[in-house]
Amino acid sequence: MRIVFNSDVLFATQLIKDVLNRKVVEFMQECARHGHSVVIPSTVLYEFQFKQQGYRAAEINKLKIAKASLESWGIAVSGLDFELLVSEPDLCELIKHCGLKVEVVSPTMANYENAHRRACFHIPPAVPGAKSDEMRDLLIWEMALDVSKQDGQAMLIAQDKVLCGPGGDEEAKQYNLLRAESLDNALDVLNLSSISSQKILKLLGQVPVIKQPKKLGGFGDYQLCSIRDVYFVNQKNGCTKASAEGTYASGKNRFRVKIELEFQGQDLLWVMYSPIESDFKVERVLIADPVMDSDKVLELNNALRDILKEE
Amino acid sequence: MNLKIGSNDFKNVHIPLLWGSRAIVLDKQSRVSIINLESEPAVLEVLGGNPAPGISYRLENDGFQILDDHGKCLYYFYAKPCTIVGEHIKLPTCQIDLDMIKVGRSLFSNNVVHGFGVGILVSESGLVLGASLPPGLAKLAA
Repeated sequence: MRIVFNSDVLFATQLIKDVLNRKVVEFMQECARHGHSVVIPSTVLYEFQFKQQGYRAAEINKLKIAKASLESWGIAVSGLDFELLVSEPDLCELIKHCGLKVEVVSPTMANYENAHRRACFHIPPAVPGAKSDEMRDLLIWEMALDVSKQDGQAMLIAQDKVLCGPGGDEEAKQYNLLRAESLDNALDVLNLSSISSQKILKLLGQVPVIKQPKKLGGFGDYQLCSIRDVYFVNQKNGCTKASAEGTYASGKNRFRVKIELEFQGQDLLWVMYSPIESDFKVERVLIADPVMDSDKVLELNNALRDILKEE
Repeated sequence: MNLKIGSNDFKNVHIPLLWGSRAIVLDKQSRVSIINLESEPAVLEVLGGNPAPGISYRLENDGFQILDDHGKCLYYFYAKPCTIVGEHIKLPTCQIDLDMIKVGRSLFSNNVVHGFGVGILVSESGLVLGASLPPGLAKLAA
């Protein structure tokens, strides 16, 4: 599948020297392993370059100030060309280093005209009631839709509310454009499993088959086929609670459940399944009793208090 | 507070390392804690290199993401070496090693900061070594 990136998921908050952010690299390497490729809209490329140019200028300025400071103390600094020393990163090359095929796509005249119309008439994916419609976002939306129309399916990864918000739901569904608000979310949507999802899957393996959710009135064996939107919360008693959305499938039949569970170390303590979209029996399955262990949390808290109390 | 972080000596400093509105503190075993001072009362987000109790997070390779109330990733925390990478929080990456603190591409090593509100202040407008306490922060207290 071709995956379209928005600039807000490239995490470029400083000058990139020779490698993208660790999280981005890990995601891209995972995609490369599964044969996906990357599309960078030219709008995104320009935004990335614009930001990197600013960071580069700031770094060169720092070096010039440092040089002047050294020279004021009689320490000669010569033969350094800061413009050559501090280079601008090449986004496409950085992506290729992750093992992925990458292409830059430019908007067509039709893209410009459609984006213009969307902006003027506040047509989706615009957020209702928004004060302005960002032309750059609308161009990226147009290009992402084009990729999806060409291939029958594509993915857009963006944190931006215009690109990933409910305003674009209908059109995204119509053209099979999958969307994800984060790299983790993208892994889950692509069924590549984030670290968090893998943890949940492993824990749910401890639930007896007879206790796993079944659609009321449904037939056949339902298997858990994907987990997404996972988050964890540590408790003071040393246990951890987690929440996720699971999809169970039996052939072409699917249903989604909300999963809440608590675990301690590798041991699942209990899990609760709640319906999202279909009739379902809410069931809390108790697996084991927790062994109370708050000593570690207490020890860490006391160690931190010692430092904060010092005068 | 008197604290040594990454070979930098912070003496009589209220907050040794302030990353946006988050105070980064090491205990005597060099375990990192992060306290959000954005609002009163302060919220402990990372305790001794682990997500603090009551804080939503997701797992990462060698670390975790700290989430806000809407499930959005605020920043990543990696344990070895201690690295804090902003996502929703748009600040330079902060790395704490035995012999230095690295913020973005700036290295701090063997500095002594005495009597300031903040030892190293990292904000959207830049870095300051020895700064006064920004207004509006919660109290950093035991």
